[in-house]
Amino acid sequence: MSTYSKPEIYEVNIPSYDCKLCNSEAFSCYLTMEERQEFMKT
Amino acid sequence: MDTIKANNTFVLRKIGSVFFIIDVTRNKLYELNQTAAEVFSMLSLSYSIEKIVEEICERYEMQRAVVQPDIDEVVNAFVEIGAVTTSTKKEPGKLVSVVPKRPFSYYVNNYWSKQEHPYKVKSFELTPRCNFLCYHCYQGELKESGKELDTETIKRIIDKMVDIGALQVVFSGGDPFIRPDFSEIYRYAKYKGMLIRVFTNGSMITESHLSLFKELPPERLIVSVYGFSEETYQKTTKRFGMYEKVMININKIIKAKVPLSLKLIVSKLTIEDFPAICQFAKDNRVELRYAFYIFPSNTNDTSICDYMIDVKDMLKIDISYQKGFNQKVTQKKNEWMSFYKKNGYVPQYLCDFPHNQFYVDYEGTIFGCSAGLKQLGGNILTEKFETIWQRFKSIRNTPVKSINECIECKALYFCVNCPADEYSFYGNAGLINEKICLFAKAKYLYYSCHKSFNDIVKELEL
Repeated sequence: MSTYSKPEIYEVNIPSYDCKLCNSEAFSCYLTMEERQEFMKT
Repeated sequence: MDTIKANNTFVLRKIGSVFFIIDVTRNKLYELNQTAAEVFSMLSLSYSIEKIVEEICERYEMQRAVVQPDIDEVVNAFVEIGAVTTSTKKEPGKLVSVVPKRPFSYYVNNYWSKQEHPYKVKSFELTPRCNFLCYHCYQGELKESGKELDTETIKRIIDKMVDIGALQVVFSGGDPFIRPDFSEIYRYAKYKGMLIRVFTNGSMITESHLSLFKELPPERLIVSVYGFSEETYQKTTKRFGMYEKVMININKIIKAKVPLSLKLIVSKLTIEDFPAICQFAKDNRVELRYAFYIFPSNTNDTSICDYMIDVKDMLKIDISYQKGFNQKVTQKKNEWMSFYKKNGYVPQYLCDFPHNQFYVDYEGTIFGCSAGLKQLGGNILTEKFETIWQRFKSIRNTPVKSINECIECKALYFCVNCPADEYSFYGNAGLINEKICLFAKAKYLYYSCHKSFNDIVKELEL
């Protein structure tokens, strides 16, 4: 039996861009997903 | 007794290992943990709060005193976001339970990327047909054929996408609006909980489509533009009167407040109109995406690539419209270099293919990306998705020798080389397109070495 967790709900912010790096829908760059996401924050 | 009911415009879905409810009328997404998902599921089945508390207590062997306030709190949160309606009007201020926010990247980074979960259908070609005859279209002669799947089969594919756990889909073509059943398909996918983008030439959007989008908004409408005058439009689309039609529709979309992006291939035929299109986008606060690369058609017609603009013009545009952006790129370069050095080699595909995305063509064939790689694909109607997905995965970490040679190139940070594009151009994913390479070097000289435009033109013989 799984352990009880208090029910939680989070609103998700959906980005309007896929990638700021190449201004394209394709991630044609040499970054890992983590690095791309990090870059998108800048 | 308080009657409480889940709203049928909220769809409960499991994407990878994470539960979400999707508000189809507002394109809102909410993550639920396991217990919250169970509660929402029971509310959808018209369980009373009393019954839900009882059920949860039994499932987890918990005391009512602990569970009851938790259920009350999450139900209040559901009411607050509109996911459930209640017959009792709550007093203002009493139901305000905070719904914390998380960025979408949280799920990409922590779950889907690590699990290689295909959450994104980058393109689902509802048809190869189109009313335009653009020279650069990768569909080639197919755009005039009537070959496409029927409504029920398209719905079957959408069901499969939902089963796989795909969340986002781009409906493309051809032009998706050429299908008389577009609205039926769109509505079906929306109520299955898909976040939808629609990629179109914008000429066939009707009032009826706009009403649909107001009721059930897309995540984004992406309109591909081909100039800013009738003359330029005709050169690319080989159709008369389309410029006016598209502009009227674009203005209607803006007025209807439907999320919109414009997309442009800056080619030898459209370059003159580029500043005017940029100005239009700026004036109307519409996102404009542009690209310089034109790839051979599905029928291997490479002559269309001759319409690509010269590297000199690419640089000129980049300096004029992307300068601030590229300055940010250079700031990051040292961090990236340490990443490459640490890794020692560059894998063949570092894009989303095939980590998290796939494409579906007008016959139901799944492939890795729009640029090519159909050789590894398989039809979703006749083959298990997982089998096809495994084939994609098998090539993901293959290192490419020629790209490894690029690792020492100082312009690497500015290079948008894509192995699939190269496969499309040369039939070899390891070769690099000369223009892409030269453009990267030109950007490096401008942004990192601070050389003048004229000096770069001279040095690289552009």
